[in-house]
Amino acid sequence: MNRLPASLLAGACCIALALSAAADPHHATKADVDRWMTELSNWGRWGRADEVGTLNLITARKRQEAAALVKDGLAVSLSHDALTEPAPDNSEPFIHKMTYTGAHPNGDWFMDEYTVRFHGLAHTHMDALAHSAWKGKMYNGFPQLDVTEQGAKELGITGFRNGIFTRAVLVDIPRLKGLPYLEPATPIYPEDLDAWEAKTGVSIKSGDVVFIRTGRWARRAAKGPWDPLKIAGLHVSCVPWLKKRDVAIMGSDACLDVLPSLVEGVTQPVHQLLIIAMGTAILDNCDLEAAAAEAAKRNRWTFLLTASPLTVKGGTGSPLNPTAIF
Amino acid sequence: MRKIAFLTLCGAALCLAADPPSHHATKAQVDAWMTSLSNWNRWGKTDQMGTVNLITPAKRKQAAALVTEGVSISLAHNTDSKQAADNSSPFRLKMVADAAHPAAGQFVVDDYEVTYHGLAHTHMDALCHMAWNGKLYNGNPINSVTADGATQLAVTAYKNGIFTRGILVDIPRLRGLPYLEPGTAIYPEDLEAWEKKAGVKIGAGDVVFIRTGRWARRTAKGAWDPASIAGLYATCAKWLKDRDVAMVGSDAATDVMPSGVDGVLQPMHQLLLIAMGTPIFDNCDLETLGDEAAKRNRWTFLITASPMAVTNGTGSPLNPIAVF
Repeated sequence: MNRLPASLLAGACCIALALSAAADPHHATKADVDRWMTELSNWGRWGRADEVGTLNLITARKRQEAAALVKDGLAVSLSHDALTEPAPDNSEPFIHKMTYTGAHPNGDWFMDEYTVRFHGLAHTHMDALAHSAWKGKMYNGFPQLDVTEQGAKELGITGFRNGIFTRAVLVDIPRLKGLPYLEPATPIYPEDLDAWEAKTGVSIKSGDVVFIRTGRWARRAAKGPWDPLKIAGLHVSCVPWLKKRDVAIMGSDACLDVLPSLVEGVTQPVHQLLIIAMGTAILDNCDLEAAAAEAAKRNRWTFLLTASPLTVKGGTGSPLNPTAIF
Repeated sequence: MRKIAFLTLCGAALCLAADPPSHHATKAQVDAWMTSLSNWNRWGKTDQMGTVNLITPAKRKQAAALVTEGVSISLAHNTDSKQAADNSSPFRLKMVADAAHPAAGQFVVDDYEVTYHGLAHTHMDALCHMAWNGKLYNGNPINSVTADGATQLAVTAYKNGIFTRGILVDIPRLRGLPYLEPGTAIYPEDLEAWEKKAGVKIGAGDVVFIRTGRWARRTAKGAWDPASIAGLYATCAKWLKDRDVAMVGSDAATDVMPSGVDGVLQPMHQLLLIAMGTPIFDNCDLETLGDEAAKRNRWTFLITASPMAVTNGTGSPLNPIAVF
C-alpha cells in the first residue's frame, strides 16, 4: 500500500474519529498501536537474522496438509487483471508497451515491455517486509537506512522466492452480512472474524493465509472506481486476534486496513503492525470475486493457495498472481 | 525467445550440428511438421490454451498428490539488472521512495520495468508470441497482435495458472557433465535415455523441464552470446507431440542455437507455440532443482506457475515453483 497524502488523510481521520470515538467500544489510539508494536512483536522469534517472519510458520508438514486440500482439481486466480487506465484508485497505471506487433514489417515475433509501480491501491501485489519502517526500524530491527536507491539490503522480496504454498481461508464479510459488497470505510472487527468462523465451521490456524473479502471489485464493477481514502478493511483491533492465531500471510481485495484507520495519527496501523512488528507479508488488491463464488458454490472456505513473487533482488514486493486450488 | 540476427552464424553451425545424419532436419521437414504435428481445432476453433487443456482436474489432483515432503523450490533466476552478452534488456528496479528520502515517510516503493522476452529473464511465452506464414496458433491472423497487444492467445488464457506434474530432464547429469557447451543439441534419444535412467515416463499434461546447465556454465565461465546455446533439436518436437506434453520449459531458450535447420531460426519455438499450441517457460533456473532432485533421485514433482494477468500480454515474467 502506497503512502497517502497526509493532509487529506488527516482531515478524513478527524471526521471519522469525531463520528466514532465516543461510542465505539473498538476505539484504539496511537498509544495502543505503539504498545502493540512491542506486545505483538515477533522480533527475534526465528533468530536475529530472520528476514521472512511468519512465513516460517509454513512448515513442510503444513505444505503437505495444504496439498491434501486439492479435492476438485479446480484452479482459480486471485489476481485482478492489470489496470492500464488511470482512475481515482489507479494513480500509477500498469504500462503495457508493445515493442513488436503484427504490423512489424519483418516480424514473426511479438514482444512487449511491462512497467509497474505495483504498490498502491490498484495492482494485485505482495508487500515484502522491507516495504515499511517505524521509528527508523524495520521488522526484526533492521535499520530503515538499509533500503537505498539500490533497493532493500535485507527483508527484500527474494526472501519469499520459494513461494507461498499453504492453506488459505477465505473470510467473506459481505456474505456474512448478506451484502453484495461493503461500503467504503466499513471497518471489520474481531467479532466479524469470530462470526465468520462460527458460520463456516472453519478455525483459522497457524501458518494459514487469510484472505479478507470486502467486495471491493464487485463494488467497483457496480459503481465505478472511487477515491480509496475511504475503503473497507480490518480495524486495528483485529491484529491481536490474528497474532493469537499465528497466521503466515494476510491478503485482501483492497489494502487490508480500513481507511480512514480510525486511529488518529496512524495511517495504516494494520500494515504497520503486520509488516514491522509481526513480520507478516501482505497480499494487497487481490480479486476474490471468482474464488468467493466457487467457495460459496461448495460451501467450502479453505483451499490450497500458491503464490510466488518475481525474484527481484532488493525489491520491496512484487506484482503476482496468487492462485487458489480447490 | 526474442529474434536475434545471426544469420551469418547459421551456416557455420549447420556444419557443427550436422552430427548423426539421421538428425539432420530441413526447412521443408519443419514446414511439414507445422501441419502433421498441429493441434489446430483439437479443442475447438476458438481455443486459446492449446496443450494446457491437457491439464485436467484429474491431472491436477494427481499432481497435488506428488507433494510428499512439502519442500518448495523456485525455478526463477534472480532478475538481472546488468547489461551482458545474454542480457540486452536488463531488468530495471527503480526505487521511487527509499528510506533516505525525506519524503518517503513510512513506506518505501519501487517501479519494475522489464522486457522479459529474450535470453535473460525467467518468463512464459504465451501462444501469441510468434507467427508463421501470417498465422498464430489455431489459425488466428497475425494482425490480431496490435499496438494494444494480442487480442487472441494472450497470457491471460493462463490466468488460473499451471498446476500439474513437472518432470526434470537433466541432460548434463545424463552425460556426466556439469553443463552442456554452447551449441550442444539434445535429441529424442537423449530424452529416452533420460527416461530410462530416471525411471519416469513423460505423459499427457506434463510440464517437461530441460536442464542444459546454462546458469552453472554462466557462473563458471561468465555470460556469452546466446546465438550459440544448448537446447532441443527440432526432431524433439514430434517426440513431445507423441507424449502430449502440456508445456515445455528450459534453463535457456528450449531451442538449440544455432538451430541446425537452415533457414529456421527457432524451429522448436515455432512448432510448439504455433503448430502445437504449447506455451514455453524460458530461462528458468534449474540448478537448485537439479541438486534437490538428484539428492532424492526423484525427477517428478508438482509444478505451480501463474503469470501476471496482463490483458493482451504476449507472456509474463514469473516464478515457477517445484514442490516435492
